Amino acid sequence: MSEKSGNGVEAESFYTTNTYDEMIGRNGALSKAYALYGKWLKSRSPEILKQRNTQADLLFRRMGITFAVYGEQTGVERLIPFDPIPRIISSSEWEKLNAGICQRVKALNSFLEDVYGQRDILKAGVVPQDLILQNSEYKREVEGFTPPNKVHTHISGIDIVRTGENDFFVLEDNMRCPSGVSYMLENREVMMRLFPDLFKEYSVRPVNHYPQELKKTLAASAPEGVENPRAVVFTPGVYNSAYFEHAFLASEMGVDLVTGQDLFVDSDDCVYMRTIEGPAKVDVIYRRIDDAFLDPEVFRKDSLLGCAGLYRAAMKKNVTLVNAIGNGVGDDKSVYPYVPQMIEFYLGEKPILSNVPTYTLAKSDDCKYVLEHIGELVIKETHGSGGYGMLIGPKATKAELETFKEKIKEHPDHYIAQPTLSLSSCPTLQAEGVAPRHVDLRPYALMQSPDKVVVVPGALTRVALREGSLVVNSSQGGGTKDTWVLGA
Amino acid sequence: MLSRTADNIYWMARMIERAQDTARLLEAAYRMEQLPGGGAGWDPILTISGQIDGYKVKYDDLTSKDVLNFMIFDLDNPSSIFSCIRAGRENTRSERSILPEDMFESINTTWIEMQGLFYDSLERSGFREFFEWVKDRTELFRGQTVSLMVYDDAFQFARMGTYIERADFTARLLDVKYHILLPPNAVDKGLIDYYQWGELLRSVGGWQAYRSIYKEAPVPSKIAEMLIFSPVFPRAMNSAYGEIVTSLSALRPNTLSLKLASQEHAFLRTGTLAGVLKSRSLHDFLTDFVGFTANLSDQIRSDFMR
Repeated sequence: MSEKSGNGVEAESFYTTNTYDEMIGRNGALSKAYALYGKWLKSRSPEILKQRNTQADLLFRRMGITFAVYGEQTGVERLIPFDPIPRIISSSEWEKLNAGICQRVKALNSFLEDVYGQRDILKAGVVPQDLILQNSEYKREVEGFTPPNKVHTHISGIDIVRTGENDFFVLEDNMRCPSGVSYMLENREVMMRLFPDLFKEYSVRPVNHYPQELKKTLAASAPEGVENPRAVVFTPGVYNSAYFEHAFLASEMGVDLVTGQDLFVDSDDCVYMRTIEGPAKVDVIYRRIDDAFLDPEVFRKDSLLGCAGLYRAAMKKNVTLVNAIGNGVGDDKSVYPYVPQMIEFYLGEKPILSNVPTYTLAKSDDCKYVLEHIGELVIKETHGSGGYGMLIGPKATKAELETFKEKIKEHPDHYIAQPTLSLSSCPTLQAEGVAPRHVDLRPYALMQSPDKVVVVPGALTRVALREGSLVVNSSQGGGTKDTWVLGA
Repeated sequence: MLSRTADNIYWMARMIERAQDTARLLEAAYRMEQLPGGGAGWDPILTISGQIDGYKVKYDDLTSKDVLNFMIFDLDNPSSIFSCIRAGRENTRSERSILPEDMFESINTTWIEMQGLFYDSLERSGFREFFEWVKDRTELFRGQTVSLMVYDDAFQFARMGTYIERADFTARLLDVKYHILLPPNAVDKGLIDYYQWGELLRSVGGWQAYRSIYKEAPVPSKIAEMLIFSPVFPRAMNSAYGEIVTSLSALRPNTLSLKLASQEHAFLRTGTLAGVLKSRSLHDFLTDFVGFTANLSDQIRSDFMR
């Protein structure tokens, strides 16, 4: 009864699934990327994996790789669940992803440069003018401003989902303060410690040069004429949910980790940090703090996390903010449907990676369709993130659907809708053994100049640990996996 | 180096040293309580730590259970072992980007293990074992500062934090004898005295040191002399000030804090117990010393951390 795959391993004995699985596809045969791993997995008992998993938990706890969940008691730190089965991507799959990400980031950077400058794309009618100029993420404060080196999107996290062997879609772009890259690096570190034998058999492309590439990116963005620029990582503080990552990146790059109280802007409109030898000039700030909290002189007046005068210093190009102010208008969900047009408009190329088909509820036709088919769709708030404010039609109750319909009718322009994608799954360790769970992928792109984007061959894979769940966010029960990009 | 970093590292070292000192103090009191009629009572412990008022807000009576709970676990008490480890861990976490990886990991492990301990579990597993565990974990951490940290400014602030706290503690501990009032009907005052001074010596790990320096049975005046003036005993006030002066000189010449610390160090280097007692009581001297050290700490702050 058992169907043997080309690799002589009984794929059927792993599990069965109705959706596309990255290890066994749809027909149950081991995919090429997982060929070796499948054999390895078969030869080990799940107990070994569970034991390694416990070991991993202890390691993460000891290293304090934790995050804080907002809304819980202050100072409570939690671990993001880690899954010890890697997500494996073949080199040809990666080549396509890499090319698509670079293309996309270049177009988005051109878009930001354009909408805060000439507005060609609005004049050409490719993107509706109101959508941009009336958008709350559009920051008038940076109109006409070009950052040093013409880079707005120094660091991007592009969320990608897969629905079939060759079907990758970009789900969203993150160009404000994308987080999670430390998990890409630490997950690898832990996997190499837990499974040294696997790394001998597989040629897994390394990722740990990411901090060096990041440091190069920061140096390249320095104000003109500054030699040996001083870069710092700017954190909201030790209680921020991503504090571990801020400290980790500062440490790996060998730069200072500062908070708002360490910085001040002097009468020369330059930024200084307070050191034991007196003030020291800062040239590049990798800020992990939102625009709104950056500078109480210009943005939210009640911000205690920012530094007064930072905006002024940045506008005079005495300091570079990484990422630039105002990027939110580029990764807003209402702008997302236009990214393929941006790629054609700025680069004259066909998009390598597709968007998920998206209904813009501000358009009355789309809105009508969505209200009629709400039970099949995923509805997202245009400004939402972290999986909050989202409705998954097929999983919602009747009452939830009705409530959401009312919300949509009230503010159609606050929402977009997408078909419910059947996300790919990956083998994942569960109490009962190895089972398929849905995943997404967030690679990190570093823009060192408008025509040079570096993507370290790896990513953060988030996995929805609950059976059948499509929500991968760590704030909502998601876990992470190490992501292996195989060498050619 | 960021001023805030200097401040965090300084307090990191102080809080870890304080956790250890509190454990040492409680261990001494715990042992003294087992001497027939020799219990020092628990109020000196609270007085030394400066926590008697905080304790009285919460409790009416002085019982060993309440004091131990208050001094080990109570997060409202900034000198409890739990509070000190938590604060030391928070400071380390804030600066983990510039500290050797092992340091955060070791203090984090201590913090995680401490969260699993309760009064009842210590009663079962033994308080002495717990005090030893605290000493081990904090000494491991201090050992890491010495053997892993680059000898840069951060190292100097860590060293100052350790020795300011230690100088303060040794002075407070020595003052404990002033606070112990023997019950008037004590059977053998001399013998109890002998044991109490012995415990005091043990609590600073100075039993062997005393014998190697003085080669005779412990005599109160010599114990006091060793804890104040010894240049070779690492927990003596004199030695601690020597380390503080070394670090301050390495940081920057001509600071007011260096001047103050050097003056005090010169006094401790050349002074004698007899000399001190000519003009004032030991208690007054120790009280002044604790005040002076607190001022020095403030001066370090205004010299480097503003």
